[in-house]
Amino acid sequence: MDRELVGIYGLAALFILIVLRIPVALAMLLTGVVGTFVLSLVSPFIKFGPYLLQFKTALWNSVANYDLSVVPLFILMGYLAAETGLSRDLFRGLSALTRKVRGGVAMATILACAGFGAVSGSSIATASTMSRVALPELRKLHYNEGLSTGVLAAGGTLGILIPPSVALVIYAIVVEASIIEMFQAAVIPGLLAVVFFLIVIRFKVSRNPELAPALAPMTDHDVRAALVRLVPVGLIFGAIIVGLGMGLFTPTPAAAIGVFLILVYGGFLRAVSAEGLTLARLKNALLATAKTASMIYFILFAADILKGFFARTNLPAALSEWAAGAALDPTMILIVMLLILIVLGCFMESLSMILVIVPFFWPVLVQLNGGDFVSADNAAFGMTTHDLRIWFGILALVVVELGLITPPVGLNVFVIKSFSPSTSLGTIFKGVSSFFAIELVRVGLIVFVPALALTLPRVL
Amino acid sequence: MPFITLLRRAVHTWALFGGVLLLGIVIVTAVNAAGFAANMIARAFGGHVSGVPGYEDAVTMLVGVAALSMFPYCQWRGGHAAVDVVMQLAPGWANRAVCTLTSILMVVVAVVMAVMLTQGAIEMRQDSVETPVLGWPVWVFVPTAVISCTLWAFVAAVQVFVGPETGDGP
Repeated sequence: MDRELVGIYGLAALFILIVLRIPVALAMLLTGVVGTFVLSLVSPFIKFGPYLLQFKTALWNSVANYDLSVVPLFILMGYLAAETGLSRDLFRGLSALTRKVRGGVAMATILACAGFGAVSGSSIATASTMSRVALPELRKLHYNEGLSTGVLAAGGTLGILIPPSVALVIYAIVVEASIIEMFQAAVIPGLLAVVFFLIVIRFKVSRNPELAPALAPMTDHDVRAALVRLVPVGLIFGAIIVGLGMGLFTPTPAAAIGVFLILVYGGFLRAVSAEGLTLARLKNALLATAKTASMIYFILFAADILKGFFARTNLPAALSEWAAGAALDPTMILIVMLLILIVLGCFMESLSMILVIVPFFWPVLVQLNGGDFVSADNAAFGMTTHDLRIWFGILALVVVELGLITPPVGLNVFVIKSFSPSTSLGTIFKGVSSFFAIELVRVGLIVFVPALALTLPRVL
Repeated sequence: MPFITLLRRAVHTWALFGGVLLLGIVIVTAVNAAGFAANMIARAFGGHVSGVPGYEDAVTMLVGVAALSMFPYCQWRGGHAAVDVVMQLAPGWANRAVCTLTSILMVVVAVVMAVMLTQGAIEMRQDSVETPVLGWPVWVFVPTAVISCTLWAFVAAVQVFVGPETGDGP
């Protein structure tokens, strides 16, 4: 049996295990180890005994990694921001600013999702945290249920792209791109999503004003109080984003300083009021971090083992050789890849998807573009491999986002449903449909105008 | 005290130990960043303030210990990402079978990792593997990883019979 055929069987086994609800990391690990055992039976050059010896240090080496230390720190920052009430202050402050506009509180929800998404770096965390904060308020103000839940499901997707994002860090590590350049590249597409979502809300509300009732103005005192609480949130989030964007910090110090600032602010709030950070809330944040961070670390470890297996099968190299030999339209292949990512993004956790799929797609794209060392003038996509790495990363993450709100199984929709059991899935999907449509426009724009992703890394 | 209560307490405490190490990284980083900022000012006056020596070494070791200490808690809370789309349509017995199989496989993985890491630590000690800048012996940190994997195996073994803890909270 060919090694490539073992690889194809391995890929099929992996997806079967995942569909059977075996945890993704465990499925990857099993496929990697059992697949290598099968390979050792069919290939005389692969020895299973020596292969197993790597496990003496593999787990330790995959967690004791400075580059990856940013992952638990960003996660901790997100949970601390939620426990300290920063997400609530962000939403209330933005609501005070936008309340006069019809649909303004829904717009504030999108802006708050963008702000919180920046620190949490996770779409699911953004959707669940902001649902807890914004949904009761939107209900109290009699916003339409479909609009409210749709806004939260769509706003939640911003977490994966708006930097600093854990998914961007992982992608950068997988394809050996610069994390800072990936963050810079994500800024314009992320802001574009925010602007598009705001336009959708404005459009929907102007067509059907009943979706968002006109609100009585807040008293000056209330507005002032909300805005005062917005200032420290803006300063903390702004310091991290600007510091990273300008290259003042590398990701790990940025995340650690973010955690430090939130701890100091939370402690200060606690000292002067009944709010802020208590020991119980700190413990909650640490335990929530433990759960999410180890889920990610286990996936990263398993992905390393799986990557080794697929490399031994020669499958990614065979795919890229095939792509180089076949007369394929690069843009069409790219679009097919993006469609596959959208479909998988509906039900698969975004990090695992990046780790499983990108190592297959990436060599094919490089070959389609003209090889590793092609110049921009001779490249099929009109850019160097370095730029292709950044552009494809942004595109991949945007479509993974899209998968989170794609009917019938978009994960974010189910997160919102868990916070609003009385709202039917149909209502939420209907509410999110216009955001889905505008997201398709954004994907098209990034595909055909790569400068949207590539300008900032070139300029900064 | 029943075994499960004891295990629960041990797993929570071990995860919080990992969290405290993360907070340690935060403090070391803040001191390091303050050192860099002070150095920028000092350089204007011809002076020099150094950051934390071997900062990356320290963070690498601490995050290794912290990350693995969180594994048992993630297992306890059933936190590993899984795709629920098809199995939610399957009958209850099929779901229970998958849960049991998953827990058994996790026990195997955790036990193998604990044994392998023990051997790895012994070899690292024999080979005098050290961190590049601080020269800390790496094997000193690995026993915490063995403890984490052992706890992880116990949690998965318990879940073969009772399933993961669910409900609200972290």
